[in-house]
Amino acid sequence: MTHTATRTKLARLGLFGIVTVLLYLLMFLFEDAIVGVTQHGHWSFFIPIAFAFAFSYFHGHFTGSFWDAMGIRANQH
Amino acid sequence: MDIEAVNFIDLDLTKILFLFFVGFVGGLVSGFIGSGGAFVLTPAMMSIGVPAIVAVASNMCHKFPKSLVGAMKRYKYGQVDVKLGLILGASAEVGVLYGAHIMESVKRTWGDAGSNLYVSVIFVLVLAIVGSWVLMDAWKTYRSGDVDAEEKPNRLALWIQSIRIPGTMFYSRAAKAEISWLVTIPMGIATGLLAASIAVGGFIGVPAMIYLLGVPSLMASATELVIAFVMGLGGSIKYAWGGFVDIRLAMILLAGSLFGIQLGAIGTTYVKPYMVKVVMGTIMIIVLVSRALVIPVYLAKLGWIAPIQEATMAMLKNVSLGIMTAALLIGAGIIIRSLNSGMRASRAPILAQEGQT
Repeated sequence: MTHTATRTKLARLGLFGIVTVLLYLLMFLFEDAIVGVTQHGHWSFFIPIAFAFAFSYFHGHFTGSFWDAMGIRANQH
Repeated sequence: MDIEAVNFIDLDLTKILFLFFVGFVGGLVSGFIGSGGAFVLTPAMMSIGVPAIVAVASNMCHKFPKSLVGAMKRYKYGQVDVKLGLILGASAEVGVLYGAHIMESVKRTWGDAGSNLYVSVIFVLVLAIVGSWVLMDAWKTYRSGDVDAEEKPNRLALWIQSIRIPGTMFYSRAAKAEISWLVTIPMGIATGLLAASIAVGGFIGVPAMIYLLGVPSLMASATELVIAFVMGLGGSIKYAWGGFVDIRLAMILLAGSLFGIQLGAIGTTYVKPYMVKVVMGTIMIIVLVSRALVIPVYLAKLGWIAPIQEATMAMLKNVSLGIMTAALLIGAGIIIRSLNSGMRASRAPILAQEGQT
């Protein structure tokens, strides 16, 4: 792997990692408000669903890059 | 549904770490066999004080994004048949809704003990039949010594593939054949029914794809992730509409399970296909023992057998949960071991070449 490719991968890992941590921080900072709204159900159903999609995108990319950076990659053959 | 009656628990660091770990192990197994972590997650959440309905709802809400990430990962490896997954997922959704209705009726008629007995009996029956079949098939493959050979559809799958119903045929890239979606409807409904009762539809979905449609094991387990996504999304909307999803629990489980599911998915690229059957069959048989142990507890509560002492009931329940957790850990252990040995075997020629130069 070239030096540039390694740097790009690490940058991706860092970027997705930071966004993921920010998402979790925001969730716990506004914990009471979020839980309060979602507990009422009905149209607030979109909040857990939107959260789930957002977390799966950023955290999903982060975890993929994490294992890649750790050298655990899929068998290419 | 009484929304005001549902309380969300306070979370401390110990609970967060516990949920993260359980999520990781569940994700690892799901990434490898397509499903399987869910049956431990709900009791695990209940063990730290989460109300049953919130545990089920939050489990569901972490399951669909996890399955989405797993399906996308395995799609990259060419293991997912999206069309088959969506078709089965649509009928599975019907099964989930009908299954939930059955569960409610059972609970109304026989109460919590009746509902728990129903779930346990379904667990034992399905896992005894399907689990032993899957394990025996894996054993036969292992004994034949032909573990690298491409999996071929059995006679039943070939017969099902030969059924031609005009206007209903679609090409399944996993089965490498045209299949009528009318044939897949009962399979999808059965998967959904099982998911609604024991939370792991894949214990029917994956074997059905392998033995009834002729889909290779690795593709069946990957396609199951699409079905789990469709079922999970529908179920999550239903529970979130009722206000039962604790977003914090769901996202903490997701935090761990996304690490696990990526690892499980990577693992499938190193192992022999029959290993999917080994892991799935092993988990099924151990879980069967776990559920069989608590059946007398529910029978006694219903007054259908002689009463059992409270202490014995508590002991049986704890042993059952312990065995269930062991099933998940043993499955995870086999996956990590297979991944490790697969990676070593794959790197050995490269290291040998580097040593020569």
